[in-house]
Amino acid sequence: MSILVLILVVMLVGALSVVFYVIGGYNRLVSLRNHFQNAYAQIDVQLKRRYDLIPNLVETAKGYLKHERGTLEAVIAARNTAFSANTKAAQNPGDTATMKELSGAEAALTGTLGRLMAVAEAYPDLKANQEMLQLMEELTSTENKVAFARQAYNDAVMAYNTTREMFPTNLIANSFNFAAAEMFVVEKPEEKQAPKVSF
Amino acid sequence: MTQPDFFTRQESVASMFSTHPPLEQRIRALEPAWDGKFIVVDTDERSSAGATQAPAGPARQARWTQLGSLPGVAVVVAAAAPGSAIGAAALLQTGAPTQRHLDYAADWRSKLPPELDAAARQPMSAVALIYALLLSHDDALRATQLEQLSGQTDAGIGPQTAALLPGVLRLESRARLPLAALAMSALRLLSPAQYEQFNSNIRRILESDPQMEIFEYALQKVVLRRLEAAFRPPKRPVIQFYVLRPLRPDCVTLLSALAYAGQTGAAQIDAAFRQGAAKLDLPGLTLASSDDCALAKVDVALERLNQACPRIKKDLLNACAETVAADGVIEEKEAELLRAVADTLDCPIPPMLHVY
Repeated sequence: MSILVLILVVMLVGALSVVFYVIGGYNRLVSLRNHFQNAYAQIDVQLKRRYDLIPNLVETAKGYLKHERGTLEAVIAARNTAFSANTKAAQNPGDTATMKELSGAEAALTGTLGRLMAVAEAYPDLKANQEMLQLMEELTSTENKVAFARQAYNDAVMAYNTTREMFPTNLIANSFNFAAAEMFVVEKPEEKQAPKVSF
Repeated sequence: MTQPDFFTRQESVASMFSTHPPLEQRIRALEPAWDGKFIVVDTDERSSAGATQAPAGPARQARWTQLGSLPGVAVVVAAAAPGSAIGAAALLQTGAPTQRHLDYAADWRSKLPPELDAAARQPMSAVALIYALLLSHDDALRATQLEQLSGQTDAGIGPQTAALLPGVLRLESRARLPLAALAMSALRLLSPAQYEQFNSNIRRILESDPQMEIFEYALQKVVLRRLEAAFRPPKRPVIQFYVLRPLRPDCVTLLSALAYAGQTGAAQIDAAFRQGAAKLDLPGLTLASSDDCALAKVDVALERLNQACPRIKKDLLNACAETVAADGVIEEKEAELLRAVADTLDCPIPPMLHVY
């Protein structure tokens, strides 16, 4: 009888240990997920600032680049696409499809801005325009802040994914539908740099 | 109805479920000489223009005045006859901020330059802001520090630090500590890797400036102490010292450092030290040499003093306040230095309103 009681006690302790471990693992995954979602909020703030600057930039450049309408329209179109992609990503940070879409849209926007700056090189009056210079400075500053926030976000995603994939936490993750999070990476190597303006 | 009524109604049945000892027992653990009487607090803190409120106890000689709309920088925040208990008066509001403190904080926020306010609210610019607050006041050294910083940080932080410098250099002394506190929320959003880089860059700034003043040292200590809890597993605080005697050399180091920082002239420095030392129950304390008060030694002393029990910290802060106020004047920079030291001891004190 005493041996039976002992076995029951040991089994009960074991079962409780497993339950507490599962609870702890679940809470840990929730905490890490909230952390990277919160980190995305910082990217969101800076991206919105970037999107707000671009129409002002185009408006300032429009008076000088009268024959470059196609370039200006491409910038606005890319900006609008990136804005929509960011709106979707902000609602579900870390989702693979939305993050890839955002990465692509951001890369495209950076590319069109780069082409605009290359075109502006041929217009000295535009290069000397104070408002243009200020906008470009703010844009560069904002892109640096995006990069900084992106690093923090990616670090948080890595911490979440690592914990999610490790045994036995992966059993908890799969049981409770903790999906893998997607990092926010720049897809094309040449677009890892912010558009450089050398007036 | 007084505040104690809400805490002392623990009859025998309810006391069985108490999570803490009775209030009186807890107070006597910190204040063995307590007379058992509770002070009745007037909760109406609104004061009319020009009204004064005299504090009780040994600081009766000091009169409090409401912070008015004084133009320019307030250089002297407290003044009284030398030897008066002005240090004690300065610490009276610890743990009990009043409506005047709230008004002071609102006034400070309204006058904060918008670019610095905005910088304190974003992680990257908050990092640049802290760097700007800690850089040397010497132009040549500062330029070197900026150059080194640009090579060791993410793109944009170096230029942003340089952009924030003019605003930071124009800041009043009283604004630096609150500005660093304002940046804490944004700094907690850094990733662990970014925090480690931030931490190591701050230490490089410290090491590169042999003339760093104790205030900048205390400021970085406040920043890093507050961030440690967010980025490193919080350790359960363990009190190591319940008596002052083992902390004798650390008390000497700290009080000497404050005396050197706040006074000029050997006689004044010694007098300031003695006035503070008299508040401690340690006979025969003597002023240390300035070499023995180097920042590295102050760092070690503060780490040890932070492991003392609250009663010792209270006595130590009183001693620090008396050292700072030994000449009868607490200047703004001295007040902020005292607040920074208090913060590193986990005993933040509110800003000192004008005391005349």
